[in-house]
Amino acid sequence: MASAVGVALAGVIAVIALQGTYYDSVLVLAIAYAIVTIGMAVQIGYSNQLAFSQSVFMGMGAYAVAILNTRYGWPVPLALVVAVLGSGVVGAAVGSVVTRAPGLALALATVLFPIPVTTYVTYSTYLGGYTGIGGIEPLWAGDSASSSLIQSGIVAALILGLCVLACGRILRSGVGLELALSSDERTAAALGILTSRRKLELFVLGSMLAALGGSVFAGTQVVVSSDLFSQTTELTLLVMLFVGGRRSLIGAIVGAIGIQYLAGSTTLVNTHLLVIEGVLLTAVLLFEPGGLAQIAVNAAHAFQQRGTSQHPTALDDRGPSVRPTGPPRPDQVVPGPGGRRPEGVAPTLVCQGLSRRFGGLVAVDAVSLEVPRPGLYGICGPNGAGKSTLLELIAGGLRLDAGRVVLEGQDVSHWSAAERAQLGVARTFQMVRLMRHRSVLDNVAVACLPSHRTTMARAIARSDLEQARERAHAALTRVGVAHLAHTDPGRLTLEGQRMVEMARAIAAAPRLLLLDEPASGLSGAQRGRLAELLSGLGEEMAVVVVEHDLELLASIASRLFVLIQGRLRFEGDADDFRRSDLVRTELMGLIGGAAAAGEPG
Amino acid sequence: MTEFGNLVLSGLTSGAIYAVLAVCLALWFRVANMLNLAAGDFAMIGALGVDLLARVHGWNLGLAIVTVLAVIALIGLVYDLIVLRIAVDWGRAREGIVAIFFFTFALSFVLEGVAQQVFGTVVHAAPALWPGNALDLHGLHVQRAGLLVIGFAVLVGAGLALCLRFTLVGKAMAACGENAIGARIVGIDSRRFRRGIFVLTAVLAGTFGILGSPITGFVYNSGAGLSLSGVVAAAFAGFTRPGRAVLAGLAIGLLEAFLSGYVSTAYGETLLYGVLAAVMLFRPQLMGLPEVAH
Repeated sequence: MASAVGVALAGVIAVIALQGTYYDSVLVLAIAYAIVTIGMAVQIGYSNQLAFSQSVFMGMGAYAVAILNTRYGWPVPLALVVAVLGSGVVGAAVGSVVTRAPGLALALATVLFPIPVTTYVTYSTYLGGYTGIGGIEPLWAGDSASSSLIQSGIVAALILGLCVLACGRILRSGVGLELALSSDERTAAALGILTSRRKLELFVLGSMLAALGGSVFAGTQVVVSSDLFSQTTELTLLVMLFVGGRRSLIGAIVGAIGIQYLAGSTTLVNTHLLVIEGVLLTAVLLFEPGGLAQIAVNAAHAFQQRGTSQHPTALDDRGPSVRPTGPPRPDQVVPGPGGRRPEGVAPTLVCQGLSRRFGGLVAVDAVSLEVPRPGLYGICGPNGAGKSTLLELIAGGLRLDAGRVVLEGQDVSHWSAAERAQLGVARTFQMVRLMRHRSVLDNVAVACLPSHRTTMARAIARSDLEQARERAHAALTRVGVAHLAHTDPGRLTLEGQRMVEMARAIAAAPRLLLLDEPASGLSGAQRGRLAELLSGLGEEMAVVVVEHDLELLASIASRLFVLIQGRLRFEGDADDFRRSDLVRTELMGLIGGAAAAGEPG
Repeated sequence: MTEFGNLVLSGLTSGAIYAVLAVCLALWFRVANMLNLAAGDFAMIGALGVDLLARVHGWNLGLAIVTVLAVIALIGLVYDLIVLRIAVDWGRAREGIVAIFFFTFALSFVLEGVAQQVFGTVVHAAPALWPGNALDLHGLHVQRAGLLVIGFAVLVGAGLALCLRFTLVGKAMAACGENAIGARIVGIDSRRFRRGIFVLTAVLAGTFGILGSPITGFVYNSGAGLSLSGVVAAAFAGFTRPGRAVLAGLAIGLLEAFLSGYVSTAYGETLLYGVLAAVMLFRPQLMGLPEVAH
């Protein structure tokens, strides 16, 4: 809120202070570009959706205003609203196609868009051909050219402020957190996030802001030409975004104004503009990928730190209520320990004849098993036995070749991973996957957003992030790493990362928790802590653990399954497991070393 | 029939241009996992540099060519030593998609800016290496420079494809791209490969510029469009396979010629990009693009 008001106020003051001079026109032009670049900051910088079609939508907005105003006599503000809404519709239509493609294909396809569009506009007499369309009324006409410029500039600055407000609220909401994760589709799906929808919303948002920037351009420059659509415009926009700071709204504005100022300043700078832009871009990429905005933030931090004697501990100063250990959320419906489940309720998980082959290799071969109620269930077997594949089949990360997965009586064999996650399946990965650039707390909070089904537009009005952060904090407390809440995930130890991932998995109070080798890489003492935690979790939910550490499994699991070459070869409790000849002959020889190394302490 | 033949010829000629750039891009991507968006600019420097030295300053053509290619190699070397060394070896390039597109994109800006100052803003071409009018073979018009470019593309593409498949150096190159650290552990100097291939592809692009400039002509900002067509063709070779990149480039050139010849002269290019974008969006698996970490 404060930054939006600040941007609008600073813009208005600067527009007035420059008194309609040449530099005022440079500033107003920069504001039009800045509206486009803040959309790009959300789309490209923040959410990694590499769409290079903003110049097309910018041109579309500008030309729509120009035509509606000059040909049909519509007032510019009305034309602007219609242009932006119309571009939103076009953006939704185009986006529903392009956002289905994988990231690199999206980037390559959208790079091509400006070329045919520019050609078409240049040849079209209706659109004014080479010369474009002139004589557009200003957004807010005054007595003279300079007073029109000042008044329209004020309107533009206010619009920019509104855009910062809207985008800022989206980024600070739960939807913003989902956006940050939407490029890691596998993790997002495991957390129940519908990435396809968020990607489409992002594309529409970027398109509408680009069109809005174009409309403001038309309403302040009063002339438009086909250059707007071209790749040159797109490249300029990208340079603005990257130099200013691609992950920051303020950075995007700073970049737009800075580059526009360079372009509009003395001839000496102007003639060498390409070189200057190239060098600036290289320097930013090499030394501070966060751009000018990040440099400013770092400088401010350095200044602050000199003031305080010690570096401040960020922990707990945001004040999410810290609950002591115990069940994460009393307000949540968590299926209680096994005994409390009423008779006749369907078992948590039933797998019937699950099969999956990769080419000639049958990775999982007709495996049937049942996880009747909350508790701890272990799956073990030699490397390549199909354990991780089996987990993927249950979680929905891989398609079944045959068989059925039934969760609490519901056949979910054809459900996507995200849908299964929403039903209450949570998981961790063998390789820990956490979001960079976000705190540990947010990495966990993303799992318990109630907003998976809300629209992005709604996030502007209401944020549910604080609520999610509280639940995330409870989950972190539960696994014993609450003190890491405000750390950068990149600085965690392996145990820390695994615990954070565990917290993320349990934060949404799942009914079925799938853990893929949670103990690998952990020391004996760490394994002991893990065993204790898992036993506790087993009281509340069904926990299925794939693990090489047989001793750990046997000490905590109430039921064990042995998978060898894709087939289920043993099923029984820990005592049967220890006595089993199969386990002694087939497993101890193969992975006995690993078991011995991981003696739980 | 003659019309068809001429369309094929013109398609192959422009296809060869895409092919050469695609090869340069694919080769370096294979080693460094980055797209060289400045490849087109090296071609531009080749053409305009030779034009400047030979035509304006009256140098001997051979000397001019050698000098310009040496300058191009030097630019590539210096860029690698300063920027790429920091980018890759300091780990800046780990942000996958940014590294893929933006480092060399910045280089392209700088090269264009310098070229604008040095060569001016008028379209020029290097003196033809095989001077004379277009050859006339039973009504088929064959541009001499076009033949040179087609030959160059096929030679380079086939040579590199064979080299990658059958020589130890080729396998070492592939290893650098797949896993730089692993490659280093088994004793492959991935940095030297990255530098060597960057310089090599810059020189190849420059050579193409000199050979092909009588066809297209060059101006300081011609490079970006050339790089883009190279990117598109290389994309259909999954960015990593030079042999397939040549075929993709030639195929795109032929498609463009047929669309302009038989469907619409004015909107041939538009249609071409429409078809290519549609394939990228609806059949991305055809390209076999690498998976990119963000």
